[in-house]
Amino acid sequence: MMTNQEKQILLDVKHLKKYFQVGKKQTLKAVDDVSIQIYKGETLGLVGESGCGKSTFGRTILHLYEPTEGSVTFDGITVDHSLDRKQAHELSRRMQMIFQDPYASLNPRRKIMDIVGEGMDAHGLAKNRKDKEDQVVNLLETVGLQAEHADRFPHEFSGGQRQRVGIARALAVNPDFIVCDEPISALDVSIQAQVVNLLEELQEERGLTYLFIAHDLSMVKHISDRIGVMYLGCLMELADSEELFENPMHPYTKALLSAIPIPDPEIEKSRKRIMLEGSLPSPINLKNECKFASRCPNCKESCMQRQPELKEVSPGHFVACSCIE
Amino acid sequence: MGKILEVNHLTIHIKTHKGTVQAVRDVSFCLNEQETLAVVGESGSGKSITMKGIMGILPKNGKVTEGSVLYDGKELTKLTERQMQNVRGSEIAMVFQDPMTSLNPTMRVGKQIEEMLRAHKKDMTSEQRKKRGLELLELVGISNPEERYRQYPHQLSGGMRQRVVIAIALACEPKVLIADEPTTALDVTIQAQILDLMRSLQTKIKTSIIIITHNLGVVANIADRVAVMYGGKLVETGAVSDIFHNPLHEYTKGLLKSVPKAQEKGGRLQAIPGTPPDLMDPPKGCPFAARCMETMLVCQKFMPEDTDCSENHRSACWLLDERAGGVS
Repeated sequence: MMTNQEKQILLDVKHLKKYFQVGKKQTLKAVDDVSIQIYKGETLGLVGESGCGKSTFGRTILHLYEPTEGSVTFDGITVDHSLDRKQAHELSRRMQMIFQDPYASLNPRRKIMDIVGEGMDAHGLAKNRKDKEDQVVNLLETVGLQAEHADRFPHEFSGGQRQRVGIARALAVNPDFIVCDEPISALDVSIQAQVVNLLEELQEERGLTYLFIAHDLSMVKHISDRIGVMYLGCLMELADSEELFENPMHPYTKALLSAIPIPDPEIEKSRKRIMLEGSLPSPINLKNECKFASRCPNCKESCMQRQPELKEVSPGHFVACSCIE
Repeated sequence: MGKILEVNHLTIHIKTHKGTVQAVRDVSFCLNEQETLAVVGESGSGKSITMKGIMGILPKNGKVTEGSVLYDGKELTKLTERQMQNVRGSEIAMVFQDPMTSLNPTMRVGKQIEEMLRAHKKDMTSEQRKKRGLELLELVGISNPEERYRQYPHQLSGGMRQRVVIAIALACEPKVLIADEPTTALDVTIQAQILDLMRSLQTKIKTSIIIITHNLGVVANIADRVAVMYGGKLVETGAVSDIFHNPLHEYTKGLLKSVPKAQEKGGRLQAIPGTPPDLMDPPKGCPFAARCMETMLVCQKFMPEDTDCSENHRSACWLLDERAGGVS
């Protein structure tokens, strides 16, 4: 955990928007005006239902998608087209990503050595072939695999092992910042814990900063310092993870938290749930109202005017709801 | 409470081009009337194949090589395909994991419900079928059933589709409902809705439910009893409170420890090292021996017997054998 003085902004996202054109006149607002700061060495968890734009957000800050509006500043450098090739290349080294599906994200026709070593080649991080091989073997050992695995193909590994390869590939270029896009949701429960522990160990050793995208809230709470809750492209609430779980303020956060089943039969039986009516509305051509208005239990007239802005209600705790002052 | 379903020493082999996978090995359990049994385990532990074996819908290369499935006094493994068709759907129904693929995309929702009635309730007229179909949609909490009845699956959301699938499964009021990961493909808020629905339907229709899941939270929410599978074997069965508060098998203990607790923060999760065994060539002894912290020599050589620890709570672990001298 960090104290306030130590907080150094690594990534500053301002009013980021990413719209997709679907059909002729329809716009899908995947990310709609999200501003967030990520501090050096922290883990920021991002949660929300599928289709809320959390993955698009992760990809847009890495500039895998061109943002429609807004800016992303990484360690003082603005990430956009004005960067020259060299700078852009360097940024792609410093910002890496771990993908959700360990079956789809590794090229089935290449050996682990080539998959992990590719980034080193691209950025000239290995002096010669021998050096590269040594580094790859080192990395494989760091993530809990063995040296002889380097000569194998992805299909020879289990899901958890593949995810370790994905982590090794991200680490190969010595990044500062890693976007983990649902890195554990495709894995079995007993394997999830292994991968989460590995991510935490690596963070301590290398001072990494994570954006951890997931929909498993209990795991997000475990790994994150702060958590942001997204709904239909907007950030609804942002707070320290403990604060968010103990004192959720936005009605959506409350409903989301009460929907997670807790692995304890006594708590489960006695617990009162806030049931949300219906399901997520389509993010195409939304009206100009609070995004949660259609499902909100205490929706008022003022909610129909516009999407409320994120306000700081107590130090470090931001909520976007017009009912909360 | 009487037993409605009894599975004894069920063994299922699946032939592949690489060799025979011993997917289910000597599994015995029972299902009481009106209870909910949760089956948990990792992917590949044989939970889905066990259920498919009970339903008689194994893939072509799969075969029940040993054991029996007793439903209401009937031996299901001995039935012909035609006899089995009468049981399937009307007596035992199944809900699959992915509501996107278990509905026919080219058929209207209403017709898919009627299909089930047409197969099992031959004396129903088409008006009666339609009336029953609308009733079912209302029962599973779909608003505006008249309109939904005429829609196609792609016009419904994921949660809504799963409700339709449940409606189809319940059309003939089966005595046993097998739900194979019914909420895994859904979001948490929708998952809560579906679990709530299943619980209320159980009291209304009085079915017994077997739910397969790997989410321990879901287990705690809905189950009366739990069966834990690992490496094709049933390693522990017991009441839900016994499993959560007094787990006997080392795998169950590890599984419970590896999920983060809501109450505590910080510290490492206690992961179970290693990976599950290859069922093409399963270990001779306990399937969990290679990953177990308490493993002994005997674990690797011999399969532990089921040991009853209290009524309804049994586990297969050598540590529970009296010769182990009460090691905890």
